Amino acid sequence: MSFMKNKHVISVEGSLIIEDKNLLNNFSLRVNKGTWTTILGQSGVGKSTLLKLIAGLKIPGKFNGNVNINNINKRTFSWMSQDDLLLPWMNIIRNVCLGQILRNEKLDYRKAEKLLQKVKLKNLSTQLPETLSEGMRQRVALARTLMEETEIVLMDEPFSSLDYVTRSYIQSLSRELLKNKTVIMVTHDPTEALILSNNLLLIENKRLTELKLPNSEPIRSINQNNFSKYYEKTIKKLQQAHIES
Amino acid sequence: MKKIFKFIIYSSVLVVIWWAIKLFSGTPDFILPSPDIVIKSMIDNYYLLFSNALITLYEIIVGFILGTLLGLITGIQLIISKNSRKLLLPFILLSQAIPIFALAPILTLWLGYGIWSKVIMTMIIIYFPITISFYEGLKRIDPMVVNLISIMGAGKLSFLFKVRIPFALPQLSSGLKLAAAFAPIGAVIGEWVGSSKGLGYLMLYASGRVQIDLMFASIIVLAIFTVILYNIVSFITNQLTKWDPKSYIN
Repeated sequence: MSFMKNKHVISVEGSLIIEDKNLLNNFSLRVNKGTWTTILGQSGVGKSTLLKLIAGLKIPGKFNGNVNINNINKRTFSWMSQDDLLLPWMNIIRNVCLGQILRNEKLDYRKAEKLLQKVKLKNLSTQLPETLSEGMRQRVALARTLMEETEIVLMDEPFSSLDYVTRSYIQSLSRELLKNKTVIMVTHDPTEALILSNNLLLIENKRLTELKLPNSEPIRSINQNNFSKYYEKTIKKLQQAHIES
Repeated sequence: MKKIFKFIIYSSVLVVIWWAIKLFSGTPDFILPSPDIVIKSMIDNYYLLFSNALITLYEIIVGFILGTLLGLITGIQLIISKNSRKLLLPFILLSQAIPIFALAPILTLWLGYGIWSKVIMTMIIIYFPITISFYEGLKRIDPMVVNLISIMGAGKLSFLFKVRIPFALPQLSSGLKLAAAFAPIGAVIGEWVGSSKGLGYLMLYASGRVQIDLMFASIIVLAIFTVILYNIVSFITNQLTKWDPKSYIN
């Protein structure tokens, strides 16, 4: 039992109530270290609220329950969302170093440059965000997330505003760069969820249910044999959840 | 350079219109002097205009700087404290409900005929646009940015000075530009009510002696001050908000 407890980096149990309505009823979420967990569900079911709850942010409703984080560092989380949230007056490299700037730490430009090189934006480090395309800006946001060096990365629909080609490029880049991190991602997109996740959770009927993946391994490509089988299954579940809601 | 050229062109057009009105309406000089008479008066009364203009300029600049500082401090106070919002906001609004002309004699009575009653008038007139624009700017931060900053572990001061205030700059710059246009009005109203120096005083002095040309000359000098102050403020705020594409209209 204690072994099981230690294995979980995050465990959340309880009920989420917004405007006197139960949004999530007696749910239980356990996330293992170094895995990519995706929460799927339609709009307004409480996916983003759940993510905020884990991060310790202000949520619009009430939560009756416990959030346990087996803390690794002083700063536990980094955050990536649909909007890149780059500060428009800071150039790219300073945006990557934003955490250090805000905490009045010594700026590590060398590390920031290395990360920008990884996201293939090193030669744009002195430019302002407004000169970059949406895809480029999201790559800067990814570099900023990695710069924080936190064990847990929370992602709130991070790729949903991108076009298909850019999205698939940044998805593979994220998969590569966030290897060994504990990632919790919220998305609408079942394809994205199947490609990236070890664990797939669905919010249906105010409950959090798990969609079993083969050996808890992500289905890395849509060309993989069992992709369509799991895609169909996921879509059916989502549609069912939509009808029942 | 282009701006100066534009300014000369616009001024010339205004002078031509003025001349045309004078010429075709046949208005006598003691009601509407022609531009050449006003220019001659400016040359003849060069020292009188210059010495009084310096006083008004001093009042405008000191009032503008102090009013801006007060507005910025109030804006920050309003954003960081809920109690301040409850207590101060009604008073700030109330301060705008009192006509500025009604305050001028009281301030002169309290602070005397010196520059301070005019400085305070200038401060009062610019305080509202600066405070409200800055406060509104500080409020308009994306909640997602607030979440990100909070997760990054930023301190309150760091968040205020490194994120909130830069985000508020475009909004504040609108308030500062309005203030630059209003500041000379505050100083002149103060001088009208009670003073022995300044362009406002010179206007009253000239009016009393039916020296309409000198009155027009004073107004022109005041207008030039306003244009210069506005352009200086505009230049500084444009530099500070260069990153904001919404600050520019092609």
